[in-house]
Amino acid sequence: MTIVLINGFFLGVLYGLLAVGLVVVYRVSRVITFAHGEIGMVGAFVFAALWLDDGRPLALAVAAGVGVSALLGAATELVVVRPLRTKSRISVMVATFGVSNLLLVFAVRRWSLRPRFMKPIITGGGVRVSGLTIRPIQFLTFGVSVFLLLALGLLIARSSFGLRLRATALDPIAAAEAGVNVNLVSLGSWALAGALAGLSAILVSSQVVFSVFFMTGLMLRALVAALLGGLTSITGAFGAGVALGVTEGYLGYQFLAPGVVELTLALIVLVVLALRPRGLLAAEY
Amino acid sequence: MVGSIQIGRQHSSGFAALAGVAVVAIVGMTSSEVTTFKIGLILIFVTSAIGLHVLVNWAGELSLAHAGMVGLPAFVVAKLSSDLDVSPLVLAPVGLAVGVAVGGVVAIAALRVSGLYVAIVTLAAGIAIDRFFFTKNWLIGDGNLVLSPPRLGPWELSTARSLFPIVLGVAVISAVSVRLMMQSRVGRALSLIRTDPSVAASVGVNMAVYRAGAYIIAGALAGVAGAITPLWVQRVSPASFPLSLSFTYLSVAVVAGSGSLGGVVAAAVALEGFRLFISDTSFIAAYIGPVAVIVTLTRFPGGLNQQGRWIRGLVAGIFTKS
Repeated sequence: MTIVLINGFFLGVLYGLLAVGLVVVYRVSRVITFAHGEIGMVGAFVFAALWLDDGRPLALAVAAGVGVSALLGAATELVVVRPLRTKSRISVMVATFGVSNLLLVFAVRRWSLRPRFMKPIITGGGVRVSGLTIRPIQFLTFGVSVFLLLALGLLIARSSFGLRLRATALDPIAAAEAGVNVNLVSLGSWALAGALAGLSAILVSSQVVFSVFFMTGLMLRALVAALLGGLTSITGAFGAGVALGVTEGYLGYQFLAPGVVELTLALIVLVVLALRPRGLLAAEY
Repeated sequence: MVGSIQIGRQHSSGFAALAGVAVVAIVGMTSSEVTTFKIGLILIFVTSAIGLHVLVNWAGELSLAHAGMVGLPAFVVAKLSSDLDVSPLVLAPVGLAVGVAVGGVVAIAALRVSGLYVAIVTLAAGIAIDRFFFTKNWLIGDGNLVLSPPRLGPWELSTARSLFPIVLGVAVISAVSVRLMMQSRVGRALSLIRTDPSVAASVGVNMAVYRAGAYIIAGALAGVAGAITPLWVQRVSPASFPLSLSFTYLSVAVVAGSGSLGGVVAAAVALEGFRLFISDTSFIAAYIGPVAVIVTLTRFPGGLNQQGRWIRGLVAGIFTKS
């Protein structure tokens, strides 16, 4: 059982990391972006092409992958989200579905459906806990996630950009009246979320079957985590992601039949939304 | 004067629809087996897309579970047909009933929330259907249910051309039923709920009942489409109803825009037709769906129906001047 829970914990860290990106976008644009996973996926494939195929230095490949994802996030804001700012949020959400599919189609044509080998960024013997080997990449993912949580918290709470971001999230019209460049803040937050997606995808890529669809299944869990976190709380979303991973590990251990985990997660969503429509841990600005 | 113009427009659109059905019937009955089969697939797709059109463009609701709403009735009909050795044709009402039931269940979940959360709830329902039901051997058999050609009395309907009138008939009956409903009190109430929910509530429209009704209508049409899928394809597998299919249905509803059924038929034919008649490896066929959604939402938010109204107005203006 301990092995299951530890595995679930590290899986949950991945969900939490992805859920944080969804929350960053939602706080500013009030949009659940369905393109988050695919934006990260393209960044991860760019990273793999540079690092594994072309033999470029690791740092350069990571920077390029994260940069491409940030650019894709910014482009989504410019081309899709901004023209729809006055439309219903559902229209924007459907449009991000379009972006997601567009990136998937591009990726399938560029890199094919075939899964490929992805070497972990760091390798080594790992640490044995209760008969389970925790790999260095899992520790790295956890470390990076904690660092990002702290960095994001500081950015939002202490920086000038964070202040403008919170003002825009609270009331974009009033923020604009007060001199905040709302367009720039929105663009910046989408680029930031894109960069987070890229970094998350690069970290995740060696821990799952690496194909163009590798983020799709993970994003569904991340969405549930973000939702449980009320879509506005970064720490809430991360915590919910970890809790979700542990719950999933436990359910997978108890019920081996396929589909039970997904059915349970769907029921959790339905029950949470029925009882607390704004999520469990919604944050104030 | 205005009334006579409206009646004139209804008559002209009725004639256009009739002519369209006649063309489809002639092409379907005279083309090769492969072409007829593909046209049949498009008709089934149109039938289920009409259901989502009602839900999205009339009632202002949303569903990301539509693939499951089509797939579950398809599997139930295919499994019963296979186990009981009964023609899928006879089991079509079962498919309809399953579709209504699934629509009702999705409605119960969706009615508890509003806005973006409807998308999340219906997505969760879609995932639950896909990952739970579509993995169970008692429903999907060995994952690929193969049926023998259906029979109608002494006749075995083994060719696409022999089955085509049934599929066309189902699509036409579905479209006509929805069209009649559109002009009824139900259609007006749904439209009012979408346009202004508070006004709808103030004039006595029972919001919960009508919102649930929209999901049930969508489920019913999805059930009909699902029921005729095993009849037409004679092979059902989970790969036929991936989660991404729900996005394709939603794309059709978005590209169609609010308004008549002409838009949804045109959008369904364009998106599904490109996929079926142009090779999957084609550049246009691959990108047309997502690009159409993005361009429609950002540049033509009224969809094909709004463009159709603009073109009709332009043509009417030219004739009035001349």
